[in-house]
Amino acid sequence: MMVKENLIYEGTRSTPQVELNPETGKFRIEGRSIPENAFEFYKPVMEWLIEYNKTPNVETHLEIYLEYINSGSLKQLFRIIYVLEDALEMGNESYVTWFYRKGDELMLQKGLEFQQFLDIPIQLKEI
Amino acid sequence: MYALYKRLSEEDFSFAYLDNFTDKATDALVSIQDARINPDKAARRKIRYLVTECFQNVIRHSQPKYNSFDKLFAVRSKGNHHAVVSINPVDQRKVNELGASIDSLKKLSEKELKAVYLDALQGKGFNKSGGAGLGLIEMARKSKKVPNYTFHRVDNDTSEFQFELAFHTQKTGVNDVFDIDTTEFYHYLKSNKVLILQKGQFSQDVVMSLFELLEGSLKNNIDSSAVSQKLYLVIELLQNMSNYSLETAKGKSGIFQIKLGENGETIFETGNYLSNTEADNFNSHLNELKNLGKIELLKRYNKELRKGLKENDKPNAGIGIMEMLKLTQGNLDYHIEPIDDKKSFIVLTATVK
Repeated sequence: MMVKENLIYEGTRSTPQVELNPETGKFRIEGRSIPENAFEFYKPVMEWLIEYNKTPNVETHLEIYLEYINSGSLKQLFRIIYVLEDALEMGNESYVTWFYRKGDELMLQKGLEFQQFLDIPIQLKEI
Repeated sequence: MYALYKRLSEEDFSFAYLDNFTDKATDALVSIQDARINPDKAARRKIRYLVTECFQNVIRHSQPKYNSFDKLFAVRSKGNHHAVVSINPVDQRKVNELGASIDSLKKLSEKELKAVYLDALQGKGFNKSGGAGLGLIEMARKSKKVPNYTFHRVDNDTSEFQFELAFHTQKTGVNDVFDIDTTEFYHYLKSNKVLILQKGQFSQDVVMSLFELLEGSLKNNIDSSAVSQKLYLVIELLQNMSNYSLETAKGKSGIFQIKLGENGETIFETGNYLSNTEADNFNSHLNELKNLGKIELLKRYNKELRKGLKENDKPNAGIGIMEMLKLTQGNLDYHIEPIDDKKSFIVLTATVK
């Protein structure tokens, strides 16, 4: 089954806004990601992505702009980006833009670590 | 910290906020009360009102700072008995007027209080110092009790005003005396340079409200580069406590405080019961991680991130303690107090410069 529907979550005080568009291959995760159970929150996102990856867009671009994050969410984001790497292996283009606020050393640090640990191109962008 | 937790053990909720607070914290303070008092709407309304009024009074009527830790705002609950407490410096010239205003309320019946309130609304009576008169009358009406107060002379121009409003949200036979009185409580907080303390249940809603309070407070007081790191540490500590805290008769209770160290460093501390098995696991896990060098820790971190990547089963977050170690540059300490053959009390201390 091919993913046809967008996946959209509104942001809350502890979870980010999520927008995954299979038509354009543009994905965005933005806001706060500090839920008590990050695995449960990101589970539908992961399932959606695994399905999407069966017939991915020629180009997939994930934008991550997080104000606050917890360690549980970091692990889930790592899994999400890891899944996107599979699209690379299928010969499609796939990359991530990791935004961080000017002076936010923590989010910069997390972006650098992900760059170091993962093969997918991760562009760090200060805003 | 265990000694303090024990002294506060009869209290379902204890909260203290010292020093550099502004009225921007009002919403978050109310949100903390809402999160902990559920689902009693009437109690919630009453506490919400009295907390807001009392907190804004402290801010509105405080003299400029004369010393560090010279302001306190506290909320304490034991069953249906509650106390809202404030300590702040006031202009010495206002001491008599303020004392007389509160004393005058003592003689009044509920009906008379209402009449005085209506007069004050129209600018009559003793409502001469802005909102103070009106606020005091309304607090007395809502709590059905006249506040207690004391003044301690600080210098020629300033007195320390200690204000305490005790009330019930339902009739109860509960002993309404707190084991630690306000003076002792304040002394503990001041001498330990505590900026904020909270004891009670740490549900996700409570954690989020406290997080938002700290977010506002940190943004006011420190440079932005350190804010997200400190908040990251706070959320890790609070969620760690919430996850591992042992269920007791009073739910998953714990204690959290932020204080200043001797050299200006910020110290974040949590304390909670946990099972002896969890205590042993934590003990060996943290000791093992603390013995790793920086690069080894990063390698281990990478390995933990990759755990469970291919499976769909629930992965253990596993990286929380590593994140705290990295953020504190190794300054993550703990103390485990054995309680009985089933449980221990753990205090986790994270220090950042």
